[in-house]
Amino acid sequence: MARDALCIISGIRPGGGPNHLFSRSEEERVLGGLAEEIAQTSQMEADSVYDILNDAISSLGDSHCSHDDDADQLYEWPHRYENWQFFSNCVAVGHFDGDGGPANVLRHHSSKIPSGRHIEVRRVCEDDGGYFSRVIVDASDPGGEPSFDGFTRVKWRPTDCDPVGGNPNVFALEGPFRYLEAWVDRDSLPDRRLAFPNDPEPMSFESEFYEIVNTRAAPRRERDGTLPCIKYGGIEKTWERTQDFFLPALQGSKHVRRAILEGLRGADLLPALMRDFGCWMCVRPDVWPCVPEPFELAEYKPFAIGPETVPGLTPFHTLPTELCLRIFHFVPISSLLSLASSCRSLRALLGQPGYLDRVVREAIIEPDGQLRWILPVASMGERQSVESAAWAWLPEDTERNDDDLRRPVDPFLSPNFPHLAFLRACYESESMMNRRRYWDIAKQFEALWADYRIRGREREVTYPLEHHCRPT
Amino acid sequence: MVNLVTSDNESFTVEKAVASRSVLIKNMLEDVGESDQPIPLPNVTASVLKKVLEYCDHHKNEPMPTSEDLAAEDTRKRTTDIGEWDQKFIQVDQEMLFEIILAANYLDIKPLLDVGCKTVANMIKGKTPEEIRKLFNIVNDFTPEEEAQIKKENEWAEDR
Repeated sequence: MARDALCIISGIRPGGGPNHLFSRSEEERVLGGLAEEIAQTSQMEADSVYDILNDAISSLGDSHCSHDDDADQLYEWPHRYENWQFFSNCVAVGHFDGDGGPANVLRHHSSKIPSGRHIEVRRVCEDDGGYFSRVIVDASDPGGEPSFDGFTRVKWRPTDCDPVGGNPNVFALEGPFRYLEAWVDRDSLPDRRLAFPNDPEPMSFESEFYEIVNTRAAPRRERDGTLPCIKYGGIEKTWERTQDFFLPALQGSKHVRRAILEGLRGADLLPALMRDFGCWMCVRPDVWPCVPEPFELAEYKPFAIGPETVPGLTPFHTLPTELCLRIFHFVPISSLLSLASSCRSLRALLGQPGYLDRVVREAIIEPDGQLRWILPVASMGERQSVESAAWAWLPEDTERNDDDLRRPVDPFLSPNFPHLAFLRACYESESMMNRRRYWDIAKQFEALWADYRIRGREREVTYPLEHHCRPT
Repeated sequence: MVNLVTSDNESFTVEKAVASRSVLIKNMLEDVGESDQPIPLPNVTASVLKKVLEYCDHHKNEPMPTSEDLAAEDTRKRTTDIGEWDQKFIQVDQEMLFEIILAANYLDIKPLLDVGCKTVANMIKGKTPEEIRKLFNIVNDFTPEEEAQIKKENEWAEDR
């Protein structure tokens, strides 16, 4: 019986995660449950909400469902940014023998997980439960079998990363892996000699990654390969031996309820419905938002203060602007908006023209800012697409060149860039939501990395010496 | 030893190594050279200075941050992690916390300023407007209509 292994960083299977919202047999129960939930918090009847949801789902089915009446997998998710090669290609990290398995190397390591120092890193594709059958080699490699999978020329070779049996070899989708590599700030972490005085020499990113994921107190889940200490956003719940349906990631009816109350119907409800189902967690994370039509600057205008209202001063009013900004640098935007929503005087303080823009700008451009995920990752070749997207947000007459006429100025540095409005558009974009999820996961890994550098391994791991059998 | 005089006219005699954690005082000492003259600190009260000196004393043997370190600090370590001792030290009432931030800024003690700012930031993080009001003793002076407008304005930044 087929089984999926999930990427240890993103929680989705190679190829891009589930393809369907739910199965035909679940339709009545799922839509009925959502309708009941929405009816309870609105003036609407559950039956009419059900009809609205059914209508929306049917519009999805018309164009995207299988027409095979026997098919159980209805309501296919319309991948808006499909065919992202970094969901198909994976990176495998470990010690591989001639057959791709880990067994040979373990004979020399007394059944302990071998050190990450001499691991091999392979680019692989065509997963089958973690048993990758193709190692990607450069097109010029004379040993490579010329085969083309739509993206890359590949060479056949097995690479076993299946987590069953405690196999220490591990794979990750190439995209999430490159983001992790870019966003875990290893230089800011303690030196590894603290925890490894006998092995203090620096290790590669991949080597430390291998050691960290294999030596946590709570080991990788053998069933799917994810780490219990990482919060994946709920997509990992969609693993049901295979990762086919989004249904287990459904988080209530918040967005579809709001959309229904706003009067949206039919296919127009689908984006909200899919947001509730968590489909955004499988959207490619490199599509920056376009300027919305009509474009509105994000503003938080102070409310008028009448004679009957005397705005109280808060502790923040005792600090000069520079100190407030220094504090706000460490605060996420959602919490800053909460602060601005606590009273008139704080709304007036944070709502000053350009104030929140400045906070957001610093969080984007400073080397350890909280919004660095908005910037391109060089190893993913994103620079050009980010810059062209960001330039569209600037007034047409903005100076594109600085002292060197051939070098474009970073649009995010421009004082005319609408940082807050751009951030808002990013928050509303499914692609950027997923990018932010990857960033959150990278920061969780960074915390693991810090712990590993300070305290070392949380456990000494053993791996069965018997031949690693491929599960069927 | 160095003699410091606070805004409420209290004198503190401390080791030079302790007082010099403040870049302001360190520069003053370098400017005036060896002298018994007390150094006036008109922006700091005795209760706040006492607390600040406790911090300086604990950290007196650590190397002073160089300008390169400070530049690096601006580009690194921008996390909200605070050391164990510093966390206990900064467990003070709110008024004192904001006074320490002001004093650290005036006396130019960057590491203490960071501890203070990160502590306030951690207090705000993840809180709802109502929780923030409770925390900082703020009165909600919005009308229900304004609150509804605010809720709508902020929807975009809610959790996914």
